[in-house]
Amino acid sequence: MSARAAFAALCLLAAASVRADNVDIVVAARKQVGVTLHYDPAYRKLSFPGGDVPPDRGVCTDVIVRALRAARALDLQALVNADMKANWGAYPHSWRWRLSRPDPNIDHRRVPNLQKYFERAGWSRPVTRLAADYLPGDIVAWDLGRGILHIGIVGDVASDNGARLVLHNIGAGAREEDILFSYRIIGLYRPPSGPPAGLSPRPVATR
Amino acid sequence: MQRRCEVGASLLEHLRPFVGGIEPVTVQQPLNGGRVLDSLGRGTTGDGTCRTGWMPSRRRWPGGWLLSPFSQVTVNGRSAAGEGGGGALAWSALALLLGAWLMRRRMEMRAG
Repeated sequence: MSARAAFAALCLLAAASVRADNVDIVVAARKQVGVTLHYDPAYRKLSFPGGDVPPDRGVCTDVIVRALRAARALDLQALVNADMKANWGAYPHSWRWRLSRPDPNIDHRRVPNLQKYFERAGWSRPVTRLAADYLPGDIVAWDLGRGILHIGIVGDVASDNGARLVLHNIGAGAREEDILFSYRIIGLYRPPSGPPAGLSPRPVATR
Repeated sequence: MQRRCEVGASLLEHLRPFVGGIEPVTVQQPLNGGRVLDSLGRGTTGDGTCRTGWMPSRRRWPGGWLLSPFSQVTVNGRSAAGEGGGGALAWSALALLLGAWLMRRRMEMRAG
């Protein structure tokens, strides 16, 4: 094999490893547009596992939870709860909400908990200001200011400025909007590309 | 020495028409005895001190004690702690604590 061919093969391999194919997550998130019409942060008692609030309402985290459930059969309610039980100290509950035990009704519906879970699952990617670094299906967390956090899914449609639209619920139901660089990004997470639905996700490492 | 005491418009003065349990304090010692001030809480004492303000009436409304921390008594124009004055501070602190607790509960019970 010539040096040129070897270099090309290496480049292809690197591109394949970086370029996750997570369009299925985008499709699942887009299906929520027009269905989830309200932003409702109220505490609700959920069934477990697989519990959800009524589909016509929810918060930003519900977009992520529903999309990963539909596309990958990943139940963040169960995954976050299991990881919190095993690694309570790794999550921000103790200092942020001063809770003493996991609550499967709401833990997975909070941005800091999802961020921590994604981080512990090895999904973190460097945060940049380059639109090209944000791929379809990536999960992005923002700081909206005054301690308000937000989370959404990068879509596969680019806006005029080159940044991809984001599927999210920031207050008026699930929508696809050009907000990627509108707020300060505090986290970029890339789910591993497509284990078929029904398979177990990569286990979260424990500390 | 007779001295005329004036009470400025206080919150309780405005509330008084709606809260039957409040009545003017007396102008003589002890506060719950002696002559009652006029409807605006003005009066005089024989010793030259001015005791003005509002105290709850246990007689007119058994629940009047609930309002006692709100009652305000001034002696010669100064708030008289221990005679009703200063109680509002305790209630304010209690309200702040309650507010902080409610805020925390609200944070705990919200998703997003």
